[in-house]
Amino acid sequence: MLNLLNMINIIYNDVPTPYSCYFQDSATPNQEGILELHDNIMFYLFIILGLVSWMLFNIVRTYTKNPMAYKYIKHGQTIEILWTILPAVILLIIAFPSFILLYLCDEVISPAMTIKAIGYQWYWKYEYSDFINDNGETIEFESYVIPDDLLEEGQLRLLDTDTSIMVPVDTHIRFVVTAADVIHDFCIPSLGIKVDANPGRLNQVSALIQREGVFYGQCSELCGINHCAMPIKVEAVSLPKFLEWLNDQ
Amino acid sequence: MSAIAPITGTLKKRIFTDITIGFALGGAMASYWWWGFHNGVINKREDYYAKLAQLKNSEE
Repeated sequence: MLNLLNMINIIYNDVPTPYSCYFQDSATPNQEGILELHDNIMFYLFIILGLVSWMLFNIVRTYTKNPMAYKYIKHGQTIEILWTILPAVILLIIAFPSFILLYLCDEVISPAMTIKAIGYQWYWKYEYSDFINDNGETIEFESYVIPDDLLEEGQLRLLDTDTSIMVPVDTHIRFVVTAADVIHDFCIPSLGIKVDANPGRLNQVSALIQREGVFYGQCSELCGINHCAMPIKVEAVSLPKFLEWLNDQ
Repeated sequence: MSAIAPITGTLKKRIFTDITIGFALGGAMASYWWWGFHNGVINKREDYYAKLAQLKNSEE
């Protein structure tokens, strides 16, 4: 019976799927940390849920038929101390791992390459500013959603794009994120990336992708009528394959 | 003296039992979450990366 619950909950994929619960599979240490913290907090939440539910049930059961209950009680020192100190301790237990993760994720230490992602209404533009082509120009391209009527077998609606971000695995990558018009949000759940793209401001986030695969994300800040139609597609490949792709640009 | 004696001592009478039952209930749910669900997911992921590392080593 308990295993049945698990079957409902887990969907192993790198894309959002209909009615899925829980997270997409992680591909970076950052996302693994986020997952660990989430599960940790859920552990405490379940304990609180059990306690509060039992107390509520008990109070309703006991005092439904007792109109005289606590007629003389105006103040309960002991219980008030208890229900102030206990939540504070629980919050502290949750806060410390949260801060550690926050500062770890924020750290961008000597990235091997930088990709600039610029949000537009309604597409993304990517720049590989570390590399230049034969004409001395940096590699840059735009990435548009594939319209429904052009979708091919196996492609994902509102997730697949005409061009995708190619990145090598096991390499420290820095994403520098900004926008050209309104606020967008560069979000790829499997990589543990979610950073606002603000016009006139550069935000940075790092990723160390540990396995090859295709990872999908979506703009996560309401940016206009086609907000739903500016997905992000990241292809993580081996270093030789990445260099091959780079040569073709 | 009032007709009905003030109700006192109720906290001590039942609170310990109630807190114990409440924590036991919550603890059971939390334990299932951690040991029944979370650890399974983590083990599956660790197994995958162990196999991947093995594959990479054999390729090199």
